[in-house]
Amino acid sequence: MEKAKISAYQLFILIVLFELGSALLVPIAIEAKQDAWLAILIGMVGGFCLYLVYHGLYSYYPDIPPTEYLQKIMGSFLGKILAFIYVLYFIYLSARVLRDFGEMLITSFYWDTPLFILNTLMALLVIYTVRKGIEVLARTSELLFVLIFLLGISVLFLIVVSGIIQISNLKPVLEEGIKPVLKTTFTQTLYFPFGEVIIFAMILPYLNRPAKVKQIGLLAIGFSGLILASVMAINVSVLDVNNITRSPFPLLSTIQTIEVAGFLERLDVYFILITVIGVFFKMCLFFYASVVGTANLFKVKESARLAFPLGLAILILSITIASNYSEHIKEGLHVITLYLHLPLQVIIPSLLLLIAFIKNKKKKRKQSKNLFPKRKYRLVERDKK
Amino acid sequence: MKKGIFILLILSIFLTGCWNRRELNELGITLAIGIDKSDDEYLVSAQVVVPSEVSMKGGTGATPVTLIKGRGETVYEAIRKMTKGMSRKIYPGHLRMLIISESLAKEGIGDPLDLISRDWELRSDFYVAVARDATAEQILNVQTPLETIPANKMFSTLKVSEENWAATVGVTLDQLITDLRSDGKEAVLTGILVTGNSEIGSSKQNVETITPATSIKLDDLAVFKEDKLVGWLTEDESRGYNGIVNQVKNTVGTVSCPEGGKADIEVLHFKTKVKGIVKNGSPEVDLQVNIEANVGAVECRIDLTKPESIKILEKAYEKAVEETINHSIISVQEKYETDIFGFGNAIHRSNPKEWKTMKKQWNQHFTDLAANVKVDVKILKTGTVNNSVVVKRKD
Amino acid sequence: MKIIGISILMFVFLTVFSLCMDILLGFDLNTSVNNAIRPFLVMEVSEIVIFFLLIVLMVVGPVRTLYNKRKKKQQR
Repeated sequence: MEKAKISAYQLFILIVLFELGSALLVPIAIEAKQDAWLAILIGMVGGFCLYLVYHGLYSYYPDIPPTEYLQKIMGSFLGKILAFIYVLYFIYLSARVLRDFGEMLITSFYWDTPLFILNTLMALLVIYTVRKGIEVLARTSELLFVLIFLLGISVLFLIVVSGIIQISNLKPVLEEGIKPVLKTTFTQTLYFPFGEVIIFAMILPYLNRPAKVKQIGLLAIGFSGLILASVMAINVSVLDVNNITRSPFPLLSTIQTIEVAGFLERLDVYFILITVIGVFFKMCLFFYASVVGTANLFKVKESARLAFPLGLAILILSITIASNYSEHIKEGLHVITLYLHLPLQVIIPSLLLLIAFIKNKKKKRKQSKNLFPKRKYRLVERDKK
Repeated sequence: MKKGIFILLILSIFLTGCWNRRELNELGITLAIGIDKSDDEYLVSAQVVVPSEVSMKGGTGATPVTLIKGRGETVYEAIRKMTKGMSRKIYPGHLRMLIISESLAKEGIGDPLDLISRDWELRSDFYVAVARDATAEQILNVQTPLETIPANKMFSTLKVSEENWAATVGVTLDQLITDLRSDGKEAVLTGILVTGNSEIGSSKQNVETITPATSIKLDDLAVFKEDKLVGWLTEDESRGYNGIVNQVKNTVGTVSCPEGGKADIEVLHFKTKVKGIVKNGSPEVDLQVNIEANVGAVECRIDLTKPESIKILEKAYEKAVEETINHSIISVQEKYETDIFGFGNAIHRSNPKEWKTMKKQWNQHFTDLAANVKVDVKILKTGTVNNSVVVKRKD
Repeated sequence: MKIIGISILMFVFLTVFSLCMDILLGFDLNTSVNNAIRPFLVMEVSEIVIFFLLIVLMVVGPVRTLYNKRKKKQQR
């Protein structure tokens, strides 16, 4: 653990940028067709619950990262294995985000540039940022959040002005009942992007005002959920469901349809800016969590020295992860949700919370039985170490 | 730090700007592409700009565009084969028109369109049109006055005509693909035809006379069933179509005055709302048309200072619009049995449950569908003069 | 050295991880291994140069610190 502190506002921004990161890019919840926005909103509510679970764990162990409290809850051996799996999971996800980024640039703009080169550039940038630490990342996010916010507002304005929104495309609402929407939620939107906030369990110990963690986190998830849902609703109303299912990057297609006054058109650069900034933060956070986690697990003192070799591993992994885009997306939306997200984001944290709850209750009982206050102090001190 | 600078230096050697740069003088900027089919082979022709002829300094007097042709089993192959006869690679990023020949349209346009929508260099903001009674190559082979580049001429003609006369539709690729994929709406495309001798058209002589011997003109709408062309609308039906799908921006309608003669109504705002209903298991649509208009020209004896006579004109125009719309619905139902108006989508939105059962045989349901048209016209202004020239002052 | 060891360990596990995902997607082991290696076989010259540069950079750092440590020990 490096000695760094981030403020509540910075946490808010980091969560928002993290959630928007690659979720703005790919067509999420498209299985729910024109009700995609609804599936996102329900997923957001699920995201609240998951965040409360992670926060519950955090409130038991506010000063140490999950890689450490896993060992406390599950015992040294099992805890270490679980922590190792979590670190692998974080690295794997950051490789996926890197691949998303590379694929986006390749399919839409850099047709002939090799994927490896694009990914190398992004990976080097991320490695550099992570070496500088979480405080630098947080301050950068404050700066770029303003930019992304202004971009978002102006894109929204241009879309409205150019009159391409056709609300009727969103009808009929709930064509086949609520079932497919719920199915999409529980197979997809709950985990991606909302469940991925589990990464912030690694970041939360850095917060300077622990009392605010719950409120800020919920607020940020709510905010980003609303943005994602409205962006998806706009996409559907501009492009029509039939076209959206064909488009690998719906937001890009939407922005390409903007035409105001005959000259404000072809605004693809907006999309590039928004997504590159978002992807950068998402990847940085995943990568930071994995570097800190690895350092913590293997007791490396300077976690920054791990950044380059691990970054290289991510770079190579991002190339080998899938042989083409459809395989990559299919893996991301169907395989990973079931075999990775569900156990690692939902089941294990809930179990951990349960165990932690029981353990702490026992401890309290023991402590209250104990008549010698000296020993109690010692216990607390040992915990801190 | 040193390491960082080292990496940057190395990378900058390999990444000077772009991985695969192509300078402007290596591109063959293509503004129009035409697709024909003969003997199971696609014949693709591309109208490529000759940069020196369109520059401000003025050229040598040669033609501003040149036509490159390629043959192949697929469109992609044909486009790549063009390089055999051309020193530059086709660059379609600024494409304005895609012309499909009538015979190919009758066979189906789905397959050749796939490349066009998949290729990354193409944007989807160009118009698609069908060459009527001609090959696409013939259309692209005509020189035009006013606009030196024929593709630009077609593009702007389509745009201007759509906004001011409303008998043509500028269908962009996105729109076309939406229609082709949708269950509840079939596609239409504007037709383009060549008038006059198409051999003279390709030479510079064509634009050296005031009246060009050959010219390209927009024609009425082509009706599609799935991705195959099944027929053409007349001009009146085309205008009715535009009214139904709410694409009229500005147009002129003619009505007869009660005492003989004609009056022209200039439409300012035209708004159509389509609502689907299912009555006793059979689909119906309600069309509510709201129009705001001006009096454009009066060629009859009617006193425009009186509110009653304005009312008369309003009523007359309401009737005319209603007739046009009904006529085009009925003739499409009878002749082509294909739902180009998107009534299926309206039913889908209002009655999703019933739509599910009707979806499969929608075109049959469409032919029996009843349309209730209601038109409401408001005349706002009578122009800069009150009465017509022919109404004599009564003194 | 420890750092390189950790990274290689992680890398091996990650590769296994991603191969598992491929298999879960429905490929057999052979195809998924082949898929993983193939991108590196079709690289252009400049890509290969950058790739090796990155690997060299990864090794240079730890080796230099090790070298410095030994030097200090010898000086003592």
